[in-house]
Amino acid sequence: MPESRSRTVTGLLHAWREGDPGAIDDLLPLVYGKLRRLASRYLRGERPDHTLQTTALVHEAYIKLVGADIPWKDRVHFYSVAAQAMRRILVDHARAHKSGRRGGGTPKLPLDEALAVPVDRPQLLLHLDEALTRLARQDDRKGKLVELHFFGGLTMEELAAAQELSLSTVEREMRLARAWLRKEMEEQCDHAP
Amino acid sequence: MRPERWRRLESLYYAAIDLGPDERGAFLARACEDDPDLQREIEEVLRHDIGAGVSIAAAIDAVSRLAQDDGAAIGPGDTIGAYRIIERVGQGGMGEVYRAEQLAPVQRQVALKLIKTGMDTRAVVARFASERQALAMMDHECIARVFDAGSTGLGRPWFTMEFVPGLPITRFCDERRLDIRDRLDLFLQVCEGVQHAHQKGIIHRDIKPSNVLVSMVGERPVPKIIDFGIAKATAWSLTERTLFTETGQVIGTPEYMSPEQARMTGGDIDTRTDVYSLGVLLYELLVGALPFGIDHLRGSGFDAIRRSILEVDPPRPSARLGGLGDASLAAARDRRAEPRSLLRQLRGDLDWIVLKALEKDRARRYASPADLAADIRRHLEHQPVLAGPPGLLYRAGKFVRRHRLGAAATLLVALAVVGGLFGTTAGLIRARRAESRARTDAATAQQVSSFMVDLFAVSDPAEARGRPPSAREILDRGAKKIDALADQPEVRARLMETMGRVYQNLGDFEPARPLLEEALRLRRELHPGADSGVATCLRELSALETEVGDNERAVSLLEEALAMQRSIDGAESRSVAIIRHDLGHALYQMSRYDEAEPHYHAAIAALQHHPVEKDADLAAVTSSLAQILHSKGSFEEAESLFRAALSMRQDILGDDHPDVAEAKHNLAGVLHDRLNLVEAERLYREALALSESVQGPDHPDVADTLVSLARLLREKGDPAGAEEMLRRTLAIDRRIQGGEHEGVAYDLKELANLQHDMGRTVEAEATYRESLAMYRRTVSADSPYIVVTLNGLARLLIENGRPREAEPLLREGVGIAAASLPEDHWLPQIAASLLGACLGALDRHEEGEPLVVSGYERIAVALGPADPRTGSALERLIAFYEDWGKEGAAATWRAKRTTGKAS
Repeated sequence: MPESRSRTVTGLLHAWREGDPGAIDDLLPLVYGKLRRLASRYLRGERPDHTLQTTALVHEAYIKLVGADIPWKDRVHFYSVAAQAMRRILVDHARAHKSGRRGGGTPKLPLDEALAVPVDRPQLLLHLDEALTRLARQDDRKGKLVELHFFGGLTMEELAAAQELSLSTVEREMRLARAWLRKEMEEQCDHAP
Repeated sequence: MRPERWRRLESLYYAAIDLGPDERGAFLARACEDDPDLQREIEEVLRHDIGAGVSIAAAIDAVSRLAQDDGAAIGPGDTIGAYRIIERVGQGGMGEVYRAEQLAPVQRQVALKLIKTGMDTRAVVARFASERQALAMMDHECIARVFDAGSTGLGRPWFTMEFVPGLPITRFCDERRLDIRDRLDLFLQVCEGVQHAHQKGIIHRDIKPSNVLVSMVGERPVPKIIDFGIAKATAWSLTERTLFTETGQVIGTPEYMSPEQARMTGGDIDTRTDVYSLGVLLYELLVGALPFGIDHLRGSGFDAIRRSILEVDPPRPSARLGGLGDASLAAARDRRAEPRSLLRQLRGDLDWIVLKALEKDRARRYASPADLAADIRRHLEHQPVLAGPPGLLYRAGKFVRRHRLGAAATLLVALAVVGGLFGTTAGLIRARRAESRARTDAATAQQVSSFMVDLFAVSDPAEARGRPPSAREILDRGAKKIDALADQPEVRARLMETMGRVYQNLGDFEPARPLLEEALRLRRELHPGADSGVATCLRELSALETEVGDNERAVSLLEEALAMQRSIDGAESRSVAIIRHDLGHALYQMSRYDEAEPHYHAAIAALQHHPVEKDADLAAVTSSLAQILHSKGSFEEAESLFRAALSMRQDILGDDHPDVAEAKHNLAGVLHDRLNLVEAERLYREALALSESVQGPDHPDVADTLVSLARLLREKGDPAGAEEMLRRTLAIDRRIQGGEHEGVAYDLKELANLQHDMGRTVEAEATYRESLAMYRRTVSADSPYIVVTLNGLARLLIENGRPREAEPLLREGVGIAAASLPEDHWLPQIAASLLGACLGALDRHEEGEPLVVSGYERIAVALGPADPRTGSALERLIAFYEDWGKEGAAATWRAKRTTGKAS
């Protein structure tokens, strides 16, 4: 069973690379589901190290879903799908967590509690998500870089390879992106009630 | 922003960051002459620039700090990691302490320390990481255990430790009005805890009453030392930060600070520093006042305090008490004594012991907390204390008191002592030997300690991308560095064992194994023959094997450990009993009940040989034995042992403890098998409620209890109730076991039984097969669980006219059961009875008859006539003869049915 599923993921990645835009719609739920399950394990302490690294998680999802060595290009596609999925998981979690608390009483703890950044301050992650959306609207490539780096765990070198940019360009763009996001988020924090 | 304006912002930004900060303003003003708004915008972004090498997480961290400084503190209901904050219980120089609740994997209360944002420097983060590891290596009743550490993801490190709901030791003693004897007993336990830490290479550096909390464990006060490692993490700030506010006022507790700490030369701290602080603590426990009347010095600044710590000799405790005036009355009352008798108790031994601990020159202090404790014990046993002046009269007096001889003999003894006939010589030799052993121990501890320091010193947080290095990273570094200690096998063995254990506790079995194996090899080489250290290593390694499922190896390791420990401590010792318990457990895991049972019996006998009050070991072994008897089908014996185990546990642990829930569940299980359904259901429900409240709704124990309850409800004729329980279970198990697990297989099997009962045949067959397939992948091939599942599926097939498919399944089941279970067990008999019925359905009645008859008869013997399984076997038997056309035989058995029901 796992084998046929992995063929599907690899196949979908391949199809996507070959220019079938529908492939991503099939791929995302698969990756999303896997990542969610993996993420939830961290909460229950089955893993010794509680600091959840998105990198490790995405990589694990990759091994589980794809397993075999596939061309670098396809792997990058996978990571970019995973980064999107990860972002969605974290943001969903942050929303659920926020509204749960507003509703009073003790919210049942969601399974992906141990996710690293957003847990204590869901509001912050939501700010990041919004700022990132604005950044992508302004500058699609920078938005993509940040998403891949933060939610997909790609290093600068991998970002460069994935986006077919030079390392120095990636570093420069990321530096601006970070500063800009910080500025935006700080403004949001100031305005938040 | 329009695209071209954004592009302009971008290129000006890149140009600006290449310039020095001073040049940027002028550059931007010039470049944005036409668009001052853009200039402001770029400057705003530049203000948020944090360089090239910083991660997004760190950027967010920086923002969050702004938010937190606004006073958005953490409050009740917030979660950090897997912990939910209940309330803040304290605030110190380091940060805040919260009472929090761990939600998974076990539900328990913890103390959560969250490091102050302002102190959130990388250095403190790294030191904290080191504290976590150090604490994890300590395992002592009197040391608060550290459970977990992490960072909030916003860069604030936290760690959780055992929540100690106790009082500072001095307050505890005064409120309970403990006398000197009880105070000393409590203090001895504190010494043991500190000694344990020293043996692990850890120095506390900040022992004081508020770090020694006492709480009642049952009837017994137990001190717990908290905050191990914290003083070290913040060593740099001990004087500057803890002791003074900006206005120079003393707010900390310098009274417990040793001269070498007060000297502030830094780095020159060793275990004797803790001995000094223990001496101050003992002083306060005995006298009710501190050695130096420092309070009046508080206003005069740190230098005056320092000078008195460095230069003033503390008064003897008895003299200090005498000088307290009226306060001595209160002190005496709190110690249940008259002032004069209190004075008498302190004068002499205790004066000397305290002063020896408080020596300015640490070379003259006790070398370790153990030495301090040993001297206190000598005092309590009326033996000469090391601290005492070695006058002859003193020694003779001790001797007489110890032996409580008659007056005439006293003189003789006094003469003998003067002549140096007994005691002294032998005692001296013993003392010397102990001293040299202590020196080796101390040298090893010192080595281990400096190794650890090195390890953590290299943990450069920069490479950890703004988060503290994980346990794994630090351990991995250590594992590599150990090789450098090739010429010091003792240290090496000790480190490897420790690190192996830590890996194992972290669930990292792969790196644990080579470390433990190597530690074992080294220990064997160093101490050929029977040796406690080797035995400990063997047990450590066997625990690992049990974890990874190699019970075979675990058994052989434990057998060796057993033989060794037996030759050291004797067959009746507690240490041997505990190894036997492990061994029995490993055998039980392999279904080798007959071999396991004698070990349990022997362990129980040994534990009862030296009875202890509230013996948790005895409760555990009793429960294990009962479990084996239950598995073997000896219900009656099992029941009485489970009852005994339950009452022992309630006695030891109170009513709200997971182990009590487990004991209730176990007892309910055997009652269930004995068809005491009413009491069984009550106990199951009690166990369920208890597990849910103590361990949390997703805990495996909750799932186990739900399954049992479902089975009972099904037998009671409440299939809908049963199904609800089973679905809840399955959901929990799938969540916590990740889909593929014998627990899930079990749930599926139970669900299949139920679906079968409710006539949902197609569903039931599929579920049985799913369960069976999962069992085959997850348990050993001869597991009884496979037999049970095979039986269920076969019964369904027979009932649905498919006996041909059922036959091979049943033959497999009979074969497995015959190999792994006793012959008179009911399970192989059910398989046999079903096989007989199956053969009948295939028109092979002669072949089937003996099976279906003896199967029923033996089930009836094993389970009793009233058990539903006996009833089913009888129905099969009747149907068998009816089908065969032997109406006479069928009638005979039918008669059995009615009488069976009547009786």
